[in-house]
Amino acid sequence: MENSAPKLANLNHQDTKLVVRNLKKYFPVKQGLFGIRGYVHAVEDVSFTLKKGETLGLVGESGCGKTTTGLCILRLIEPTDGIIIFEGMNLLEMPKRELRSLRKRIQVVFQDPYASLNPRMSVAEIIGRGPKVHHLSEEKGLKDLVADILRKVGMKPEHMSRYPHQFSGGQRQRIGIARALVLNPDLIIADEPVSALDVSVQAQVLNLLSDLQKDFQFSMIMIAHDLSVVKYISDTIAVMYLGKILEIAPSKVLYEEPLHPYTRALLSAIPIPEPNLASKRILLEGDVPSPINPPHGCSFHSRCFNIGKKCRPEIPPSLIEASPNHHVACHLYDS
Amino acid sequence: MNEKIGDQNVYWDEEVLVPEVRWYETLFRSKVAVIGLALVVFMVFVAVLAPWISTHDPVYLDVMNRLQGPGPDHWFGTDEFGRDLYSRVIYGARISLFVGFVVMLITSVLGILFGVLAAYYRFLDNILMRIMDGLMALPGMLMAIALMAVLGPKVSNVIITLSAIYAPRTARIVRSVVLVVREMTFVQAARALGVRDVGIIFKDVLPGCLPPVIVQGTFIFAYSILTEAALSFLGAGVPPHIPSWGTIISSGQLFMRDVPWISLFPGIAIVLACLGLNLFGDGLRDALDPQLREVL
Repeated sequence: MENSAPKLANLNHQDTKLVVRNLKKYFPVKQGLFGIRGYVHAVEDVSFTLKKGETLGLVGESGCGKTTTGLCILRLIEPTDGIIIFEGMNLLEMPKRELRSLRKRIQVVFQDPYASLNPRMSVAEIIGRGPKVHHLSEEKGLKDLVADILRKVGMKPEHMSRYPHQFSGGQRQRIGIARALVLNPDLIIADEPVSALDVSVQAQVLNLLSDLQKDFQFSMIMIAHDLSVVKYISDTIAVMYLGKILEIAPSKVLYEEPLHPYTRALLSAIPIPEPNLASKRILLEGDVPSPINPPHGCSFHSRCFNIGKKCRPEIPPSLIEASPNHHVACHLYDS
Repeated sequence: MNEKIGDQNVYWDEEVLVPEVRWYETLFRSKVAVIGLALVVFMVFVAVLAPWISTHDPVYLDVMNRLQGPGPDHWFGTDEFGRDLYSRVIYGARISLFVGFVVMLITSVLGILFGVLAAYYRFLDNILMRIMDGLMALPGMLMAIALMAVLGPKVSNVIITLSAIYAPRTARIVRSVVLVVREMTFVQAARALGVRDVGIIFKDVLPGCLPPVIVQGTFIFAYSILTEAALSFLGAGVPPHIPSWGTIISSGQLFMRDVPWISLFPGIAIVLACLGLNLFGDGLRDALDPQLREVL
């Protein structure tokens, strides 16, 4: 995982699946008939690299732009600016027709399994739709394909003629995963796939995803607002705040030595299953500033509990490599 | 990094789930829908078989026997010119049902077309919807009279006029539904799969629009029978010698106090036809919804 300024030689490296550079998405806030009051800076200069078969965890609280980042990569939302390179192809300059055929290689699992399945389509129609659109299977073989993938996600093939409302949340999410997986994609964007589920079911679905990843060898971007969810499944974790990546490091490193004050605060909020251990929880004060009018300079300075001598809140800190592969955007680690 | 957290590949015991039910099975299991369908079919049969089941010539004037009450000779009585009401109501079903059904079909098709185009392609929205607003801003009856005056009193012109009045209403309803459905996650999922716009419109968006369109369609059926009656009453609709339920009711209005049966029988016919279609429409709407299907 690298995060230096874009080096074009790097963008086409063999092991690299996806390169995102300086991704920006601003949503206009309209006022009156023609006026634009301002822009929501949903994603502000996000860059990361995802290697083949690896998983990137994208964490941050609600409204920090993690879902928007995912939707931009899928081009379900058109980014304002930036470069997204998937296997050497620039997704943002791709004509619509080519993009449509590429869609089978980048798939998505949505957050809400109750909203992401069409209530008027049977499970077979939902899962078979992708192969049908991309002509991956004959009409006859489609049923076997669906049955096969249903078995792989831990469901009974007999259920394929049922409708989504006949299933529980966890089962629906399995159907959602099957819909993505049946196309055998190279990249899956999992947009908070378990946050709408019961905790016990969360574990099942997370295990399913990581098992399937071993089988199918896809790369994954796992979006979550909960660090404990991404911990087990991610190779690298990026922490987002107000549209920016504040810290990005291999999963283990990030948990063992978090550098950014915000990451430390997030990690301290994970409950420890040990009643005698007093948790040293860091409480952040204040609310997240409005993304319409984000703070100048360091975006976290309005809530930071650890402002030191080196801090110059008026200047935005750049993402620097504090230790190998461990990047952080904080003045405390400026050399 | 990938630790096991819970149990994997769990099969659920799901035999409690209701077996799948086809939509027509639900439709015919619903008593109300079957009664509605029976009424509609009965009305259509009456209209088609009119020459065989009528007792008199519906336009024959028999002034000696005018304004007679229901009796063995004239089952529903006679009107102010002595025409047999039973035969007129039966022949009237032809015009009224034809106008009602055709207007319902045209408004539904046009309404869905304009509504979907306006909601799905936002640049068309302002153009189409301002035209619809313009049509809806004029009082319906005034516009109908003006259009009929231009086009001339013919059945086909009544259909054109009524469609122009009612299509914008359906279009508005469809547009509002599509605006909601197109933002739903399952539509995004379809786009992520690479489904074309046409596929999304037909498989995701339109099925969601059907329930309100069915309900609105049954309303429009009733409205167009009544508006056709009003137009005929004003002399701007079907030519007066052709019997339609509307023309019979409006001619009976003058004698309502003394001979109420002139308006009563075509009135009952309109009520039954609308009731039948409404009941059938409701049943159809419920049967087409997979979630309601098994409840019914």
